[in-house]
Amino acid sequence: MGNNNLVEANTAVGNSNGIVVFPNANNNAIRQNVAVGNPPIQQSNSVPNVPAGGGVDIWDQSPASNNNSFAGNMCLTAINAPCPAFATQAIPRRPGS
Amino acid sequence: MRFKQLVLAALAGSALLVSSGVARAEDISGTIVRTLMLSENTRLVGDVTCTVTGAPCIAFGAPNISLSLNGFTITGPTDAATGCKGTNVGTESGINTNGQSNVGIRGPGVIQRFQGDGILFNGTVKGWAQGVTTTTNCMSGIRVGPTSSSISVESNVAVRNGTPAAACGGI
Repeated sequence: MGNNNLVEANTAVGNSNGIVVFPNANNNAIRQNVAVGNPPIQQSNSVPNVPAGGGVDIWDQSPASNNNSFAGNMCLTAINAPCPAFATQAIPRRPGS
Repeated sequence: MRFKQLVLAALAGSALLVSSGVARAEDISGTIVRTLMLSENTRLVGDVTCTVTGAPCIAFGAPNISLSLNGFTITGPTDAATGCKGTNVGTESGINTNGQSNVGIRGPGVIQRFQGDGILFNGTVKGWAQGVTTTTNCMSGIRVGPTSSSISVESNVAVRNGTPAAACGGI
């Protein structure tokens, strides 16, 4: 992920990671997404990495000084992101609504 | 009988269209055998199967244009059931924005089974992906590359993308 991007109202389920913010990313907003069940249980059981399965729902690899923000995401597991969180506004919605 | 001949002729025309390197028409469907470079607003009018290796299936070749999936599916050459052939191939994305600015991909529609990313925003300033479902791509479903900025990734669904070998995943 680069700079000044918006990741909003997406659903990420059963991926190796749900949402990943890469180390050099700056000023990105990640909000109101549903990211759960990442990685899938099959991968969690078969890959003995830490974190389990080698992935999480939201992974912020950037330093805090890069000013990437997370708000209102529904997630269970994370590295450097505010999870678990159950935000009622993070409901999948139609584009433009 | 005459109707069947017309349908076959239309299908043959579509195959020729998507086999060319530069998209002159707005509508695409059928099989893509080498990278299809978009030069104007484009939409799918049928499912697309991609056999391109070592390069993107579809790439933007001009700024200020969009691709509408129009409810159809773009399928890459990777069989997800075999674990992505054991490796990722970053160059084999489904759609690559290819350094063009103000370009976008609009769903609904599915992008699946690519050895790289489903959608890769690469060197793009201003862009968007909206309402797209990405699944069983070997890298990310939607990746915003480090040289892209002001990209909006909104209301998409990512399921079963990525492999444990890389820090990829849904988005």
